[in-house]
Amino acid sequence: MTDLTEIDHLIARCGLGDRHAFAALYGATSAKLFGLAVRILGNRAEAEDAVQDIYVRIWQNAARYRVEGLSPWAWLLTIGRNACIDRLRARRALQPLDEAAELADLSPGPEEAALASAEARRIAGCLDTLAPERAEAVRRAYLEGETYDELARRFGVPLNTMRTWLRRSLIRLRECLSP
Amino acid sequence: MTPPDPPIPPEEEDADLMAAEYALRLLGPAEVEAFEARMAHDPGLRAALARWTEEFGALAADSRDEPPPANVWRGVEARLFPEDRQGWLRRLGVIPSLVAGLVAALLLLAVGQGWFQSVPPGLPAEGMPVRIAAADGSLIVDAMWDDETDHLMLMVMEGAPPEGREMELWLIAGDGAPVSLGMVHRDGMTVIEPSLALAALMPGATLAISDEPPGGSPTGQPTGTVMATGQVAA
Repeated sequence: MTDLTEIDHLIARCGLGDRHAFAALYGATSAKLFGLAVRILGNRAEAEDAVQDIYVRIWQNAARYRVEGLSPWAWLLTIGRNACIDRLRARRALQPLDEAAELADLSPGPEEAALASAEARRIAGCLDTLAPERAEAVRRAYLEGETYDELARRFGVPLNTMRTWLRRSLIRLRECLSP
Repeated sequence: MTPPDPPIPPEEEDADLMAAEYALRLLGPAEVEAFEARMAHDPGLRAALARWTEEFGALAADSRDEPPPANVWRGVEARLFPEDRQGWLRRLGVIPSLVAGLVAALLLLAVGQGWFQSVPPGLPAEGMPVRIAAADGSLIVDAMWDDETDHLMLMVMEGAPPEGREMELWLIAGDGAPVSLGMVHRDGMTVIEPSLALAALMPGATLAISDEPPGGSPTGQPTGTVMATGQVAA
């Protein structure tokens, strides 16, 4: 794994239009972002297209990287996640949520759990302190891009209830995550 | 004097929670607009968003790494830099068309005469990511061909040469003897600009890294252990 300082440096140089840095950044980070896209989209062909979207956004937004104050991986993964969610939402707009077909298990399998970074374990640990359905709602929002409306239908509760529910989960998460 | 914030229902007064909802993309379009307007003059809110983004980002981090196929990088370059789709041949584009016509005529003649028979078919495809790795994973170097500059870029992902030794990169085409492409830095990126003739040998070739004395092999052939190898797509 290329170290954080190096990735930070590469992103910053992309912001200055350095295409060597861009190629090197791709070399150092595309496996993780492709893995993320495959996981979110569940489809390799679409994940390949998503990775292209992701690197186009990385190149176009790199000049703003420093201003956003994120660590390099959080910045990259957020761009990756958002690009995938855009695709999922577009897909769902064409083909409305089919409850039966959308039961993908979002909790990491034992292998992923073993690979998870310390940070991932921290938030995963905090999600585990929530009731399973509430943790699932947060995961679905983040990794599936489900809206309050979609979550409300999935869990069979009114929209306002869903929102209150999820906000309470966020308060619990915040308490758990704060040092 | 800033304009008053848009009215927010009591339940939503917790700006930090709204930052979390924004990070999760749960807010509706009007709320997104209000949040962004507020964030523009509220550094505390920006910091809250950065904190949540950082935390949720960890949920995205625990996926399995999987290198994307080579065509993905080509697609990225094609979308961002469509002007160099013709790769190194694009340079011919700056030649006045009269000269270009002459070059084309010469090329036709050359093909007709069989001048190219010993010349390998082509340069590496753009991107062309190659992983040069030891069987046990103790050394992993990722290489990529930059078609825009005809440079080979390498980055050590894992491992290092033994104490007091350096890494040298070799190109082995078919049954040919290894040809040195240069030294590989143990940190950061190494950029190598092989001659076009060497670059043309790359498709289908093997890239190997050996440990050598500082400055490289004294004989022009690998003298140390072959630490890692990788196969370039044909």
